[in-house]
Amino acid sequence: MLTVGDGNRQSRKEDSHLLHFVSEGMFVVSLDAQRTGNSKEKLGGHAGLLKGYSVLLAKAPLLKMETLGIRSEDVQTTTTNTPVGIFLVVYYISNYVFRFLCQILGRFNRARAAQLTLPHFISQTPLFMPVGTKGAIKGLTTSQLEEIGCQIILGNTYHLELQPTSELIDELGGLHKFMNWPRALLTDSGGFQMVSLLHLADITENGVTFQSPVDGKPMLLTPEESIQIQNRIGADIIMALDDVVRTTITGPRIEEAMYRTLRWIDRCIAAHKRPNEQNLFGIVQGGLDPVLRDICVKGLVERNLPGDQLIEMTEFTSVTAMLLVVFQAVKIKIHFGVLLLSALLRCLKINHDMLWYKTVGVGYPLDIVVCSALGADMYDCVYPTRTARFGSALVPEGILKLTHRAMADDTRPVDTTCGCMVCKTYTRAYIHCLVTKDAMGSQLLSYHNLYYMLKLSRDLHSSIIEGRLPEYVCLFLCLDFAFYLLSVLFHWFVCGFLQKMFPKGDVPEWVCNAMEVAGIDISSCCAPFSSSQD
Amino acid sequence: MKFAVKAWSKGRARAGVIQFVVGSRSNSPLHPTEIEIETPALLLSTRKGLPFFISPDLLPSLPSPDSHLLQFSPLHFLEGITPETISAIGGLHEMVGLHEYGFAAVPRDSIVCLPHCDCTNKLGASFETPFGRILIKPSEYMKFISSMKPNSWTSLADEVPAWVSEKRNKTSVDRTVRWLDDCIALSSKGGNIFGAIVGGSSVEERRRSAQEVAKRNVSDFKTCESVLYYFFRSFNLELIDETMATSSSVFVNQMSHLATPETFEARNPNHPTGFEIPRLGELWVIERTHYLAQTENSSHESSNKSVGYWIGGFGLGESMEDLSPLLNAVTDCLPEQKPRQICGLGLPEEVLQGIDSGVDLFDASYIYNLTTGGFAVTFPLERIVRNVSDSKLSNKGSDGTKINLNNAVYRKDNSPIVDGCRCYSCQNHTKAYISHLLNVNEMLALILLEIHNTHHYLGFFRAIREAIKGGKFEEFQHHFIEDSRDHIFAAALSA
Repeated sequence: MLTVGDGNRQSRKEDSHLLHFVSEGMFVVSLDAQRTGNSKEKLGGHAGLLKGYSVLLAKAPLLKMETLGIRSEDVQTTTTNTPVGIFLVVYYISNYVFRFLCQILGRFNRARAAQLTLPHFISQTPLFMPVGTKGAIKGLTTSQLEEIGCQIILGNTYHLELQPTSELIDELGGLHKFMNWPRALLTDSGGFQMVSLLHLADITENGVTFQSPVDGKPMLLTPEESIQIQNRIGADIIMALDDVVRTTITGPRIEEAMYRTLRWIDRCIAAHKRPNEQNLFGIVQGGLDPVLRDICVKGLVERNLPGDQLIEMTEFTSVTAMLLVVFQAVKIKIHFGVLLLSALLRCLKINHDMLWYKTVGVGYPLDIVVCSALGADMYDCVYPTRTARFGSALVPEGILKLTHRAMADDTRPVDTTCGCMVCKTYTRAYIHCLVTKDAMGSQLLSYHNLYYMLKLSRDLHSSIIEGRLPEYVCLFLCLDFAFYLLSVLFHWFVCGFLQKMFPKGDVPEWVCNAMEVAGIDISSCCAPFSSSQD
Repeated sequence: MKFAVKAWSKGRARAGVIQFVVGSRSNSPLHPTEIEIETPALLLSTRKGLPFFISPDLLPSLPSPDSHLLQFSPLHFLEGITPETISAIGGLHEMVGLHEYGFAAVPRDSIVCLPHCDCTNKLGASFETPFGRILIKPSEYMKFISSMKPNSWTSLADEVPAWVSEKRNKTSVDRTVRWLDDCIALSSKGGNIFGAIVGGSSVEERRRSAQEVAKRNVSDFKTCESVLYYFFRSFNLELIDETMATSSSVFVNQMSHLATPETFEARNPNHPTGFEIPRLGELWVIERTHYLAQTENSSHESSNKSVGYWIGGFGLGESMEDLSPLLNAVTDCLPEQKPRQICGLGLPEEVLQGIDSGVDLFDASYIYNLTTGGFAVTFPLERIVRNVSDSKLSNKGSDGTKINLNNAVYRKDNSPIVDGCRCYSCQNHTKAYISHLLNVNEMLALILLEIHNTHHYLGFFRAIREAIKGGKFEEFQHHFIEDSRDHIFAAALSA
């Protein structure tokens, strides 16, 4: 459930990166379900916001409380303390959303729905890939995954190499056989985990040096080795090792990483032993710098990656497998929207029709809608299953926090519009008494959340095929209060972030340009924020 | 719920059929149907009405109808959901979406809700639960029962471990009988009651407990005494010697002095015995016979009588040797044509002993313990003459009944847990995979293990039923115990 409170109450330290831009008396919309603790006040604030919202936005016919799934009984408090805050939220919602919609409508032709033929499965894009880090999706059997329409599962090379080791997987017939998954698999290069999970990871021209988690000795992962491991695991799609840098870093390190990634791709191609069975995806590096991104994309395209070996199996004349790493710094979600939009757009300038774009760490439903509209094809994220284990369900309204006390006597299904086994059978009240206490709670919610994500990507696919994407996006966004809030949040995040970084309003030109491309109005950041309250 | 014994072994073991009505779901096309389950049967343990790890869409992969009996503990719902909400949802069947399954309510689940005898007092039974130690009174317990509408339910029992004093043990029997009366008085129509039998490790107390409960199996169950008991206890008048209340109207007078009609009504908004509650002032004039007549009438319309017996107090420190005499003392006192349910017997050897004494329904906490420990049951369901000194088997740390998949020897084992097993896990996955999942703490390991273990244990019960029907139960039991003993010896020798 989205939670809303006023700025003072929520300004705890851990929220600071979300909320630092909020001045006193403002309402804050926090999307991150995991970070919200108990709070009646938040619900009160939430309801209050909704109340004000529905009143003030009476012009928009779709925005009724009923359509948002909020019962009037839930509205506990009114907006007594901060009417200004509510007004601003509403202002932002109305101001932003329509801008946002127009933008997507304008770029509708970038969206693609396609058929991706892999050795084990013919999949339909846009598609969402659940993450089975250690050779299993947490809490679901492979038969259940097939049932809910999962097409590709992602495995993490780093974790699989630690346990049970790629040699063992190879000996037992590959990962498909090991986990008994008849459809497609994808493995990453392992480099990202080494940098993110391990301290003392050092990247040199030869490869990534890291401290072994087993005995603490320094170990080296080279591009060749990464490909060897992935060859042994045997996934349908494998990733080239890249030089991972935080997207927040600027300067020569980005350029170095980009060129190194290009040099390593050659080594990866040379080391790839099973080009007929496994498709190698390259990785675009280059940080925020559009020039570097362009160079990297061109470089990869020139190499005409072994993906074109797929010709025999696909109906496409030229298939080049591509991975677009837009966003490695998963944790810093604030950056996400900006980076994604600008980076995607940069790359799409030299778009080849059959490039496959995969985005990393893209998992929020809105992200998927936006990325698909901009032409990305594949997404993976642990978000649906992880958030399920924390007791949150993905619903069209956003996030439903089933741990909240208000759920204890709610006899509606988790998502009234969902057709999955969980929503057809169980009430929120029952799930409420299971979540975070019993394994079954995580299992049922993971099932629902994955179903929701897979259904979303299926709907995107069919809506693109039928030429309905604009309407779908509209419908999705209009009916959906959460995504209004999310878009506000996104806007707000960006503004707040920029304001914090440039308190005098001296936002660099390149940021302004990126914002313009992304359709984000940052004019409020170029002047002191407080003035917008007047 | 109906029960009939179909076959007897040479001893007390019997095979029967239990019938219950399921699928009576309001506002749906499901029609009430009868399900027949053969006994001796296993009641699958659940947490909050669902198996621990097997999600409802995977449940149908278990053998049907054997797997359609589930046991749950109403105490699991003390936190997070109220009886009112459960009623609003439409009872337990509707809430967990298992309309074609039979639910048996037992307060203790032998896993996370265990009786705590030191804190149990005259008001109610104390349990250790995941949300702390709680005291539950018969009235609170019955509130949950009436909201959940299980197919059968067990009365509240004061279970004590084997080592308590004789006096405490005696108290526990008295209380359990009293609470049975309370629960019956408080129960609504249509419930199938399993009367709780306790008695610790004393054969005499076990017999007394069983006899007391057995007395209550007839239609005059709701005697005047039990009603009076309830009245007294609802006013917390326990200071009065309870035994005196059985036949004297003096207490009715006392009661009317001590309590006002308001408090009476507040405590008993709707007296659930099915007849009008007399005003307190009039209470004493009501003849005992009147009560009896009323009770008989009401019991004709409702099936409010003990349809079976639940044997509690096991799995709490008694020795294996004591088990048979204690169980025999109990089952000898019980009418033959009623089912007997037990809690706390888990190991296959214990189950065999229980069946040998004439118990029909068992709980499955053993499966939970195996599963969470990474074990898979593997004992042969048909007796195969094997070379017990098979070193390969004993090397793998097996005792002949189960294997520990945490063991590194299964790392590369590309075979199913049990060759030829028809369960979902064995049909789809290998020992190597489950072993890996356990190694990396993946929830899927527990799902797959619970499926296999449940499937296998249900097969064990089927084999037992066949043996009883074929008149070979004693041989079956003998061979089973001998085999596992041989295995342990072989393992010890090769170690």
